[in-house]
Amino acid sequence: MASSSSPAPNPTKRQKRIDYRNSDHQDALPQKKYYRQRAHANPFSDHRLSYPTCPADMDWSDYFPAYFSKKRKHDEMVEEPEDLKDQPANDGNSTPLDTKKVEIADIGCGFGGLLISLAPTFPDTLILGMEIRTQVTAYVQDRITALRTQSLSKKSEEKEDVPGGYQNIGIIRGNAMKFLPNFFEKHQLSKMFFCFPDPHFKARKHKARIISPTLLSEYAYILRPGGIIYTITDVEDLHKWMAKHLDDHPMFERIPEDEQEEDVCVKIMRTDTEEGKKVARNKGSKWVACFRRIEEPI
Amino acid sequence: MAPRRHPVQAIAFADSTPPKLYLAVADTLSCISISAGTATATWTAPAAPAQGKPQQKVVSGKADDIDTADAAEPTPDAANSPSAPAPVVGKRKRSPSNTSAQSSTAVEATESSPAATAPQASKKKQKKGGNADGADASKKQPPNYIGHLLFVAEKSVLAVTTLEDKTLRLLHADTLAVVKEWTLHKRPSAISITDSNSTILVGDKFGDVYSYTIDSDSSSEGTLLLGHVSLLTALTAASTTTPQRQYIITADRDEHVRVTNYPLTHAIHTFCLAHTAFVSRLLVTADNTLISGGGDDWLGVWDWPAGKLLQRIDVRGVLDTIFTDDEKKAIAETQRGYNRRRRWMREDDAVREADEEAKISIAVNGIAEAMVPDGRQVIVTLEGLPVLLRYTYTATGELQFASGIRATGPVVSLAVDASRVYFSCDTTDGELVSQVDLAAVEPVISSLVSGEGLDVLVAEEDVEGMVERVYTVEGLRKGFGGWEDE
Repeated sequence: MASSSSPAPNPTKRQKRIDYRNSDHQDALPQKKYYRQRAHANPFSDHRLSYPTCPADMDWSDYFPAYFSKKRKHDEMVEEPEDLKDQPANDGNSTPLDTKKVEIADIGCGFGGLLISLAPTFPDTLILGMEIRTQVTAYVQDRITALRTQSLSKKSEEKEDVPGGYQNIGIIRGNAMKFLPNFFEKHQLSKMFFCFPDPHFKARKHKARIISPTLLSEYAYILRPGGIIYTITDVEDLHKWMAKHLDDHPMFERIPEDEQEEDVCVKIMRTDTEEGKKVARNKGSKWVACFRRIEEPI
Repeated sequence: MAPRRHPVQAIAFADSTPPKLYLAVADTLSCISISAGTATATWTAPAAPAQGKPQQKVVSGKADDIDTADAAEPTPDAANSPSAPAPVVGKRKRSPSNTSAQSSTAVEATESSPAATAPQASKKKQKKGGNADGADASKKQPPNYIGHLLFVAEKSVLAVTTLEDKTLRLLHADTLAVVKEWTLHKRPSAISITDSNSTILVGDKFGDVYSYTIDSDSSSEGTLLLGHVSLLTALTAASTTTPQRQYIITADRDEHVRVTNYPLTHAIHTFCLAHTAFVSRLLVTADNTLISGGGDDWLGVWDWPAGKLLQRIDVRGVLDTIFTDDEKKAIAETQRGYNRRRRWMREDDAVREADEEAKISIAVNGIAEAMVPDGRQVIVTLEGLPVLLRYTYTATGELQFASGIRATGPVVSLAVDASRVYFSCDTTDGELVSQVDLAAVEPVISSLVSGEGLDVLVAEEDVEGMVERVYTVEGLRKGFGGWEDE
């Protein structure tokens, strides 16, 4: 029995967040204040994540609807890709569905700044961001949806638009330290980005760092020979750590600085991530190290 | 009611002359001559150093006599009480009944009143035959459980890992004297051997694999070979002939089976991915296929160099043909008694339904290959189930279920010698270790070691601790929502 005389109580912050997330925003960009979450998440604990049993089982159509058809079970064969060329989601591209694979991964992509900048730079390449925090992942998903909607309406109004229309970027909630081989096949990726990873300063937490001798072997597995790992951080100690471990690993060689500075990805990595902008605001330094994955020594 | 006995948690067969069997019961290792059925040598793992802040050392004259240790309580106690191990208290589980903390099995419970403050050191379930050196009488250590046994015929040594002190030791095959020892980085969870049986591989709870050379002169630290970011559950070496290469196959709690090159272990060869639950055992068969099992309802057979699944061997359907509904309910009930601590944490999200009452949880704790005159057979054992599952090969090379050999109690460990299977059950009055010859037309289980003369009785208050340490495989299953790897 609601008391009709008293005014409605102020909705709590939590309720506001729920209301905001449940409403339809058309193509308005999401507001970060409804997606705040603490920066740290323990990669070792069980997070009730969902991940495919193996890369072949992954249904990418949820993340790149313009490039993949809905996955059917193994038993039911998919029709020829040509038949599905006229699907509306395939925004006029002539690329047949289910022919591409993700080639660029942004590990710990945060609020998506790098993804958004990389999208028009590599309009024909599929780029996936991986993030372990739920709220942040939701923010980036909403952001990508909004950008895609904006892009489609621009197209229909025949205005100038970003190449690729943001259809080639996606984000997934996942634990990159454990489950990369579940998502990516051997030698699938051509680039991996590690932008401003958690430094885990204390010695006993060093094993939680995203670059470690044992994890580098997994990254070498999913990267193709010639593929590149990009790292950037504002913590010099972490930069030295990452560079040292990559140097020590037999499958990686350092890219010399002049070649590094010519790479457009390095420029984007320096300036376009949210964390990078924050570092610039606080007048901090950024250290970059890039490594190439070399041929198998066997 | 017969007192509970500690089952043999690990068995290793030694193909020496005469053939021997090594049995691990809690922290004691016995070498049994198979023909005689009696122990020829024993070894007890030394107590692990006290954890937490260092305690005052107590020298008790007769180390083996628990009575004396108890009697010595009041003296060190008086000295200790101002510096009572309060910092350690937080780390230890509190035993529900603090007053009975000091009692041990064969000795009458001494009056705990003079040592009334000592129990607050929240002692744990003390096992008989444990700590003999009385280093810290006011805080009893859990026994230094033996984790894994690996017999190395070429070097006449037995590799033994112990869990509390995280040590790998090589014991002389006959006398069980310690020949060599290494301190491991973390608690070991898997062991294997490679390099023509001269390099031991140890996997730990953080997923790292270290190698230890048997013959090296310096007592070096192990070399880090590879790592998963997950508890390493199984580890085995494998090789291909064309091209001639060596590999290490590892499995973890997060359903991965990984094939890595050896010795260039930074190069991962492939993954064998299909499991949807933890993988706990691996076996490379004589025809170089990999069999993997764990928490899934099936075992996988793999062409492991290609990472390709060849066959799923059904396990759950097979159990339905072996056990009646009542038997299944009883087994499920016993299984719910394992891992009580983790189940308690799960209670909030699990509403047990009626059909779950009879649902046996499948947790593979043994996969072995036997050679009978007709060919090879694969034996599979599951945690908590009193049965040996036998699988034979069809004409097309696939594995099919042949029969289940019923045992007297849950099978805890097993070892195979050609057609003979040696296994241990958890029973109160059956044999400790049984054997069965699969070459016989109607295989019959006979007793090998009855348990008399071996120190295996467990005090009632220690039973829960024993169960927790022996039955660990089902505990690998995820789904606790926030339960961190220990």
